[in-house]
Amino acid sequence: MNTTYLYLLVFAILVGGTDIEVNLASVQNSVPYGEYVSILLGLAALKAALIAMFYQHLKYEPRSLSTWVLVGLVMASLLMSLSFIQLHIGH
Amino acid sequence: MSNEIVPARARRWLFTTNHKEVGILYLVTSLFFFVAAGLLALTFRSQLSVPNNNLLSPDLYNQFVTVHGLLMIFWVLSPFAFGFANYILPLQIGARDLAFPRLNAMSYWFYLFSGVAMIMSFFFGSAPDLGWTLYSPQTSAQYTPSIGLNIGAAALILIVVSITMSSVNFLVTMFKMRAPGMKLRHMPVFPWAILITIFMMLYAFPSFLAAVLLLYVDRAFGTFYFSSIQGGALLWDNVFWFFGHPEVYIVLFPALGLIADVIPTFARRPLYGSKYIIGSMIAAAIISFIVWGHHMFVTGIGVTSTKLYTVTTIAVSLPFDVMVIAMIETLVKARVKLKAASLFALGAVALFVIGGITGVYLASVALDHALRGTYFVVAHFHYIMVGGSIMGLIAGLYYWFPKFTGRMYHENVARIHFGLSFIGFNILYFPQFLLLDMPRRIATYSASTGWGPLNFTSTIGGFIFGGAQVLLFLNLFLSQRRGSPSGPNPWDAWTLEWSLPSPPPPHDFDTVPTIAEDGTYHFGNGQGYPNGSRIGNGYAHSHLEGLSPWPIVMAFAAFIFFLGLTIGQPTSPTPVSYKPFWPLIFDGAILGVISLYGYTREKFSVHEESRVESWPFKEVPNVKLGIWTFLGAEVIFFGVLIGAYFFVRTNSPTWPAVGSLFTIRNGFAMTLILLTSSLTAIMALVSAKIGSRNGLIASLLGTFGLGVAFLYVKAGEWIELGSSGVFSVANGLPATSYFITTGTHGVHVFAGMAMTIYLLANTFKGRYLKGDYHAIEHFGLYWHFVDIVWVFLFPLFYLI
Repeated sequence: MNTTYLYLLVFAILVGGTDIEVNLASVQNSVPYGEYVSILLGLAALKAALIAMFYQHLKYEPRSLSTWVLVGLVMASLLMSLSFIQLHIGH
Repeated sequence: MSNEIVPARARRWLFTTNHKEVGILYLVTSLFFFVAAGLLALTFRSQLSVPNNNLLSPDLYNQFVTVHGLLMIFWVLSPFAFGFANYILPLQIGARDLAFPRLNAMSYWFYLFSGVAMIMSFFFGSAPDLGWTLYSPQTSAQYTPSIGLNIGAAALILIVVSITMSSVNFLVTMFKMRAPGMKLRHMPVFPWAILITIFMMLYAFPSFLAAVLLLYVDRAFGTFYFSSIQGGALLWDNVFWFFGHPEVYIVLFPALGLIADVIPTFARRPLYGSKYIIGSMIAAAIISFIVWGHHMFVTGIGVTSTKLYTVTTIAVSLPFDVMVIAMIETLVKARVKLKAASLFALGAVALFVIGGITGVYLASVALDHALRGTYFVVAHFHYIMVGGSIMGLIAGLYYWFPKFTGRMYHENVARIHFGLSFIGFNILYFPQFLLLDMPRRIATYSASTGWGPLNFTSTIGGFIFGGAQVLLFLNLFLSQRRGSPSGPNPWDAWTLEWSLPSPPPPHDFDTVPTIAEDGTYHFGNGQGYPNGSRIGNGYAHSHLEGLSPWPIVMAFAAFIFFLGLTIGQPTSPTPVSYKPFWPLIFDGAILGVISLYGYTREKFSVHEESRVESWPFKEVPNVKLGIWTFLGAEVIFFGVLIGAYFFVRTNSPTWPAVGSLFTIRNGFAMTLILLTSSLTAIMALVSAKIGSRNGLIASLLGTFGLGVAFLYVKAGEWIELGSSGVFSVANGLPATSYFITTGTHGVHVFAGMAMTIYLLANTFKGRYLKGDYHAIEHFGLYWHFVDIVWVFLFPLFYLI
């Protein structure tokens, strides 16, 4: 596929994803809160992955570089997860 | 500009970008701060030497203790090690300099000015006085109104900027600039230790930067991250110790790596189990990020967490066992040459063992409850940080002194220095293990406690240890002038730096060495350079080039900008807020813009070798790897900001409902704007690659315009929320977290827009077309990252 078309397709998916997020907000009361939050964060993660893979070209970079980026994400997630455990689990 | 204004000798040191000279600057400056921190320590040790002493007021005592700790940890231990890393590491891996020499010089100047700011805090009412851990909520403006802590926060922000620049630089250098044939497994242990240290720095320091930033905005703008119950002490503990525990290893590993190079040299045999030592360092580095909760056993964190952190804390001691055993095995049946370098290395290992074992006690929740906050802990971490780290680094100073100067130091004086240091150290700190019922950070005590004799002994030890260091400075100062010539390799050592003359020439290697499969090196097959040719970072054989005034100017601009932000006096007592000193802020900003302009306009070429060993990033250009590394640090930085938001939100009983504060329409509009700007940014790259100048200009203009639109909508939202009166930056956690997180993101958008102006200016001159597109690509990496951050902020603040 022509790269310009690919970038436009990714853009369309990003906008569509954002639209879904906004529409979800209007029905949030009919969805359990935990699931609502999970779906929204999942969509955000999906959009972020699309930007990283196609606009930042991680999909086409050597695996060492994408692994390198993933390590940063893992570290950030680690901090958030363990802090969450401290607050809410095992008291 | 520089040639006329600054004399040549001063110009060499002020404007140098050569890694060896920057290394010397680091070493000398860190030793200066070592003396300053040591004098503070001797003063407060004198205060504690007898009961009911009034040499120092309690307030001054607290300031001395705090600044001593901060200086030693941030301005002595790591910079001391990175002085060696700057000088020696490129030589050990066969590189002619670091990947980004001007960035390296800037790191140093940021470091120097940050230290100056920290010491300056004494002269603005009160220096930080809460202990180096800066525990919340004592740090809130309500309890500590002095601006000294604000200046201290600025100093810490500046040094983290310095460290981040260094981390990116060293990482790219080690991954991308190794001599041909030098696989990672061929690197000596010292570069390995630096590599692992940098990984930890890269992920630990952004957390600290975010923590200090939040502390600063709490103090300056009256926000509530650390002064609220929902955030407060526990939030600070998390973000601080996520950095703080890896920091212990960050200051220790370079010394351990250095010792692992020194011991085999003087034992005249290969290091036993070097792979296991490196593997253990990697394991300890990974585990170090999941042990921080053991600093929080007494904070009431859940049982699950305490169990987890007990296990991980005990686990992290195991790799260190392997390291120590390997070093001891190296010594078994060896005829060790007992020179000052090896004596300090062996002494460091012995003291580190004591420090490590006493640390394992603190992994026990029960013992930690009893010992926390006592002098037992003080003794424990000084056995690690002074015994293991400082003694190890002094070993490095003696070991590489002949390489730096071409002269030998006085061996007997150095041995006396070791003897007095070792004895003085143990007299100083061992009694503190016995003071296990004495709280740390108390300015005095009554005679009835019985702590007097042990404290007196400890103080005597402090003066012996401190006095011994005079021998070090005298010895090195006199020897660099009068010492006997050392020759290139006085220790018969094996690593690459010893193959060069002492001191090495400015360009380091006449021919690039080639490393054979067995790890030995050869110079015959390397790429040679004719005499007088331009090599390295602009150095030639016959005269000095490669000088740049902009690193020091830019660091100075940042220094006065941050001073302006922090030296304003309090404007109101409740809540305390501070009025910035605008003249300095303007001066700093203007100087910053000028220096940035000069920096980007300066013709400064960095020579890249055609043959290098660069696994695992062979296909990734240096600058791109540097940008991704920087973005990795940014991930942690924003991760902590978002984590802090999660923390206070999930800890709050109520939170404004979706749509009650923020208009979803605004958030949706800003998201669409940024997503579109990502499309224009990527189209800019497409245009550059196909050589379409008009397309490139249109895409960059579009990106810039969309950035303006984003900030316009954001500013409108801020003004609307602010004018409503119920939602100001100091009005509760929802407002605090919203303004600070989106504000920080907005600053990033602004920075990206500044980049587009620079790119546009060059595009109009015909740059970036066809094969010259890399700057556009690098800008895009940053801009898309900023977009990704917003992709998360939108649902977090507007939809959840």
